[in-house]
Amino acid sequence: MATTLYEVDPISRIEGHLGVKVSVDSVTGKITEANAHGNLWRGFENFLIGRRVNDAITFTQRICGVCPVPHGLTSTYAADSVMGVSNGYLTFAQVGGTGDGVPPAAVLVRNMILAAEFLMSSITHFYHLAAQSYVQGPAIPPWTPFFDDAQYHALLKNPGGTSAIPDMSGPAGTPANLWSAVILQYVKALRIRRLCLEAGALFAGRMPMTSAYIAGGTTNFFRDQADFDRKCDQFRDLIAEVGKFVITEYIPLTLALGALYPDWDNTSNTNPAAIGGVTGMGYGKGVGNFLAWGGFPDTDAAGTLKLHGGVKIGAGAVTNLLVNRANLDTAKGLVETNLKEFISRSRYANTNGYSTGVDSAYPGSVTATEPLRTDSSKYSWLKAPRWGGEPMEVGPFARMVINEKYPIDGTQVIRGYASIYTSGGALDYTNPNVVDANLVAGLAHAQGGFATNDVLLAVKEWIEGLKGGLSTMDRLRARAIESFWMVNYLVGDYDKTTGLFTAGNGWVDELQGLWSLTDPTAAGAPAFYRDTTPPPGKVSGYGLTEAPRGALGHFVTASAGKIVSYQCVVPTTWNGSPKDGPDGVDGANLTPTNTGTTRRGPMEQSMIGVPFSATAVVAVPGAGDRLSGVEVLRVAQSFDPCIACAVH
Amino acid sequence: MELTRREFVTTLGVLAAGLGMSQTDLAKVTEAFAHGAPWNTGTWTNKPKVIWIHGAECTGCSTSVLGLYEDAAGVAVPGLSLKAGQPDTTTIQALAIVAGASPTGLGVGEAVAAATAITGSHPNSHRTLDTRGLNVDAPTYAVNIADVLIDFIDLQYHETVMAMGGDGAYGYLATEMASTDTTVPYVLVVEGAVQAFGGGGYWGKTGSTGDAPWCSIAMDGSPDATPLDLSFDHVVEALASRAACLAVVAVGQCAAFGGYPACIGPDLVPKSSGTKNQTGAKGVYDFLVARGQVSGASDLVKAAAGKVINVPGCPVNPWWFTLTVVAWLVDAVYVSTTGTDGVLGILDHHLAIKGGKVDSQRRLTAVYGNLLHGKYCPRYPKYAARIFASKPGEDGCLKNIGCKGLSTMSSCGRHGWNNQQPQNDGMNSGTAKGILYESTDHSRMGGMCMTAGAPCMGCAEKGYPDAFTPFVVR
Repeated sequence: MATTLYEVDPISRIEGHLGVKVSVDSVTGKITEANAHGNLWRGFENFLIGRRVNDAITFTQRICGVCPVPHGLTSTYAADSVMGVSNGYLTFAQVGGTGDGVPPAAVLVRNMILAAEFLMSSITHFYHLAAQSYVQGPAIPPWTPFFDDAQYHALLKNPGGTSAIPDMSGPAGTPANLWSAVILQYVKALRIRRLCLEAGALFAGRMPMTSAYIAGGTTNFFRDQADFDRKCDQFRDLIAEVGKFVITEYIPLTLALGALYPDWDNTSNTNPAAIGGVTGMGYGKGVGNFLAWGGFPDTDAAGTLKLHGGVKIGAGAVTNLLVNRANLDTAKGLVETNLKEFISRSRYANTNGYSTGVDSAYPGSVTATEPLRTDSSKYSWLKAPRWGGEPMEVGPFARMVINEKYPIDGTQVIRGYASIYTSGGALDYTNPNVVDANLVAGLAHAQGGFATNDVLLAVKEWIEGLKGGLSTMDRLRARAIESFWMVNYLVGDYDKTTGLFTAGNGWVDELQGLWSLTDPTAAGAPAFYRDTTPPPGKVSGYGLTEAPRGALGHFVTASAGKIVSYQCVVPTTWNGSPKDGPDGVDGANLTPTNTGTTRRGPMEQSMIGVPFSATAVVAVPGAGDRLSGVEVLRVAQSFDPCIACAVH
Repeated sequence: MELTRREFVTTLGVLAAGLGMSQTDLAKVTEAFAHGAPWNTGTWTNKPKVIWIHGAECTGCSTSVLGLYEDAAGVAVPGLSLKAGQPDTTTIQALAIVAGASPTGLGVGEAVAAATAITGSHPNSHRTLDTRGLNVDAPTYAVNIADVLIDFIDLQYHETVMAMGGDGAYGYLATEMASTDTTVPYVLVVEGAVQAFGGGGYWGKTGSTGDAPWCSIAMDGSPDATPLDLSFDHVVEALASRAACLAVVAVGQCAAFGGYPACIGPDLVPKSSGTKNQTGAKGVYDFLVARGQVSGASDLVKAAAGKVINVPGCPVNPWWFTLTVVAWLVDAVYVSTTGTDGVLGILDHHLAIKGGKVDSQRRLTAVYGNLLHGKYCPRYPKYAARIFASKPGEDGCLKNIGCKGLSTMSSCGRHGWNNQQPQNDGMNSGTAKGILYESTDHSRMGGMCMTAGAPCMGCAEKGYPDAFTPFVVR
């Protein structure tokens, strides 16, 4: 089997410096091997040593500026655990003002800032990062040059390849075609993502990097109840606009996209005849193993997580990790037994907890990160985390699968987010007519008045029949559906008739209710902080929760509040990891085939079997040129990789 | 769609007015833009070409700048008066004055009318859209990031937003680095610190030996070819030292001064690199100065450091970035058309940064010229009343729990973050001496670290973060 090697570097429209080296079969034109390599190292884990535990909350947010908040919160959880506030993993609300945990108001504010970040990140990912691999943009930089015209569906091609602005000549200044509608969505989503940051900043001080997280709670103080209420109300208003966008525009658009790109959808989906009756090829399906630490604890006595932690390997059932306060010890035991990071193909030395011949260690026992740049068999700055030796996909897709909010067994997707509407008389997504009504309404928004055209009707049929499985499209859809849940947690149920969130059952409502009913002065405020005193001697702990891109862990050992060691195991470290064993070099590309003990990282595995169209290299790309490599970008971008996170 | 020069200048003028530019000077700049130079060539002839590259960074500054929004109600520069007796000049008022409205007696209503008269001729109006995709900002002019991306700059390279990737992106950078063209000027924006060259040990490359680079930002599409891969330091040096590169904007703390990648660990374990700054990371200015001092450096390389203007912050505030770039553009156009020193005092007649409006850290004084501690801090009344918080979550000035506002030059309090105004925050009780006012506008509360009860961490200052820890004293 003759193969040709190609390098696709940079993978653009992600965070950070990532490249993928692919072997392409000369006959089938499909990728047979992939080596994903992260290309930047800065040394965060080392320069944290000797600093104060609370400073790590600020430091680790600078690991990544796209998703700083989850680093801040995970670091806060880790700090809580070594400052005597919690038992580690994550921090629950104190019950009755005593015992382990932080004040309920702090739990809510921590959740709200993080959820606002999730929404910002997911919306930015779809519209501003991933979308351009499916839609040609305006014919001006930064949207030019385009990829090969053949890579785009006809309806999403720039008309003539020359339009710099959308055609607004439809009725009443609405878009004249689908392409124009989608470009306007791009612009509109810039506003929506900004509102997410503004909402978070009301309690965080500023975004993207939040200032309010601290071991023991948050730093918030409000002058009086009126001041507090105004911020809560502004938060609710901002998220309501975001939420309406998510429900009526973002979700329908992601559900519809597969209809135009069926190859990238899973093998259970067949396009309706109107679009050509093509069955999904499942490109980008990946390892099929899923991991989530879980996150977003409620303030109830049980400490129930809104998103459960769990592990699902292949066709096996989900094994619970953290679900509530009661199973904390069990979950911690599983983590400490199964989690290891491998460095066989990562540019690090076998020191500080790693040893020669083993090449792996539990991150909590690693004391520092020693770069090793001279070993040419090491191809990435990412380490390779594994669960019981298995590569695991993390992220919104993993979370939705583990929490049974998105099916991967070939059953209908709509089922996945129907359940919350089955009571209380709000939306009922189980009623197909209501589903139609809402999705069509959403698509009508997205297309600016195209509710009756053939394209929309065909897409509607597609959406109704849509089934969940493993593919690039499933990853994009799960992210949108998770955004719906974030909105739901923050501001409660959506009323389809009014388009408002008035049920009053979100976190912001709960927070607002915590102010003393009898005292509107500052004295009536809920507590946001409990003071901490570092315990004597050396203590180890960790924080595990969810970032937009997946399961995030910070492992810390501290002595009298000062850091002795600090290790981060980050979502894209899981997803973008290199291979974990020493075997199998095929030319200049690694293969994991020799012994069966070396496994590809999830992103590498997702590249296998995907077609790669190499076109002539364009020496000086200009507006009229058409480039190659988009297939690799599509697969990589579906993970929403963040390399600054993955390598820190 | 072609943006007219007049429209471009109009938007520049909004922000230029914030710098204290006179009407006469503004007229000269407008005239200069109307006649073309220096953006008179290239595909998009009337938009400045921008190449934005990422090194040892986190993309936080890009994320922040993507949130740019300045609307009519936003206070451009509190305390700056375009009219006697009026303390605050709003963006919309500045715009209207630029558009030719009389500053005398100019109220917001009149300003809106004047601005609308201009923006009405904009082919797409503006781009803050309602749920139907229609423009909602026409009557209340706003500058947002979509306007900037589509209308005001020609952003040819930016990893996080550009369509092209892989080979195409590599080809673009490699071509620009090798080019000696001087006819298409550009602004280079650098996000992230520059690390020492690694030696070129690219895995899987024929003939590639030496240490792997700390940061490589693009690779040749054929992995079998002789390595021509682009480590970040090489890209910065090559692009900054071209004659066509008119300015190097170091955005954020890392690009400006090294920031986090340049951290010195207090108890750092011995590193293979043998240095406490593990990767030798530097700010762009220091890096270019060092490259210019290498024996045999060309005159172009020697001149590169002089083009650097810093916009620190962690991350940068979008308004700081925009104001700095616009101010630079205004001066650059003025210099290139008149041959004399820039009207704003930022550039001399060789386009080099000069003192006065730029401080010793190469920051614009209009943005970084005031201490954070003072009447714009919403907790200043508490300071004046000698009320100090003793732990997080308390009322009072945060000085005793680690606030760095006393040693940080930043305009956070004057112009907040995330479209919010710290002066509207409830924290601003307005009862102590020195307070500008107690706002009755509660619409945009928040907008800086102190409004969340968090101490200033000094992120706009050289030396951050090492010199400013612990951030919170507990």
